[in-house]
Amino acid sequence: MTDRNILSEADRRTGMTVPDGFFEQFNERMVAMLPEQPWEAEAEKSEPHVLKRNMWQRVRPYVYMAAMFAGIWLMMNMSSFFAPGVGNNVSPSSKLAPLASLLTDKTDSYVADYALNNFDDADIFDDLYASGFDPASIN
Amino acid sequence: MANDNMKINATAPPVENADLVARLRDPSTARAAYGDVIRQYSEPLYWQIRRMVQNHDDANDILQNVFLKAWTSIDAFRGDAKLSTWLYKIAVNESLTFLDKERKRLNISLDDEEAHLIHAIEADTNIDGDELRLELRKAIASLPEKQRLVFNMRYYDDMKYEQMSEILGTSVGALKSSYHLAVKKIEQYFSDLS
Repeated sequence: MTDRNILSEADRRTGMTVPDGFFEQFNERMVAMLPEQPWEAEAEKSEPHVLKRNMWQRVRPYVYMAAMFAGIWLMMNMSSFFAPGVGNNVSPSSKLAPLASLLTDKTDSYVADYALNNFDDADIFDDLYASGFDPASIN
Repeated sequence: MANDNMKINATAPPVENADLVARLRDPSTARAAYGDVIRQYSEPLYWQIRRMVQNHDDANDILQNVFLKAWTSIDAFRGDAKLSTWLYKIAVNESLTFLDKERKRLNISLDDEEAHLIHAIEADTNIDGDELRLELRKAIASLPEKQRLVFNMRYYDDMKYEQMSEILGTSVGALKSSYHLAVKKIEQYFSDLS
C-alpha cells in the first residue's frame, strides 16, 4: 500500500463522530444563550408603537356608514311622509298607498254603503221569492 | 452517532448568502439571521475545531465561544470580508488560543504537544473505529501547528488556497508548499510504520 493510497482510502474522513442529535441540540442551545445586544433594545424602541383598537373604534366606520345611508333614504322619502291633503298624511300616488289603504280597513263600510244606496225593498223581495222564499214560513 | 461526512461536504463552508448578510446588518432582523448563521456554520466550524483539539467536549466549548464572540462583535462585521472567512478566522484563533492555554496549563512545550495530542486521539471515544483514519489523525498530529491547519483545511474541507490565505493571512504560494510538505511528512510517517 502506497502513502498516496492511504490518503485516498481515508476518503477525506477523520473517523471522528459526535453523539446523535448533537448539532440540532447545540443550535437550539446556542440561539437561546445569545445575550441581548444594546442596539437590539434601541431598534425595538425606535419601532412605531401600535395601539390596540377597542370595540367602538373598530365598529365606528360601519356605524357612520349605516347612518349615512339612513340619512340618504330619509331625504329621498321625505316628500311622501309629509304630503298634505290625504288621510293619515299618506298620498294615494305614493308607493305606500296600498299599504295605507290596508291599514285603514274601510272595506266593510264601503260594501254596506253601496248596498243601501243601490238596492230598494222590491228588488230584495223579488230576489227572495225567486229563490223559493215563503212569507208564511216566518210564523 | 453522526460522523464528519454524513452528507456531502458537511465540513465545507456553506455557500455565501447575500440576503443573510443584509439581515445581519439590520438590527431588527440580526438575531433571527444569526440563528440561521449558527444552523449553517455549526457543523463545518465544529469539525474544523475538533480536528485541531481532537476532543469532542473541548470542541463543543470552543464552538460555543466562537459563536458568542462573533455575536458580540457582529456590528464590527461590515460584510467587507466573507461571512465564512470571518467565522473561520475566529474559529482558528479560538482553537490556537485553547491549545496555547493547554500547553501552559500542562506545562508542555510546542515540541511535546504531539504526544499530548496523540494521547487525546487514543482516549477519544467518539470515533467510528476505522484504524486507518485513526492512524492518519496521529500522523496529522505529528505535524507543526500551521501545517496541521493547512492540511486539515485542504484535505478534509477541500478549501481553496485563496480562502485559506484570507483566513490564515498567509500567501497562496506559502500555503501550497506548506500543504505539500505536510503530505510528504504524512507519507514518511506511514513509511516508518511499515
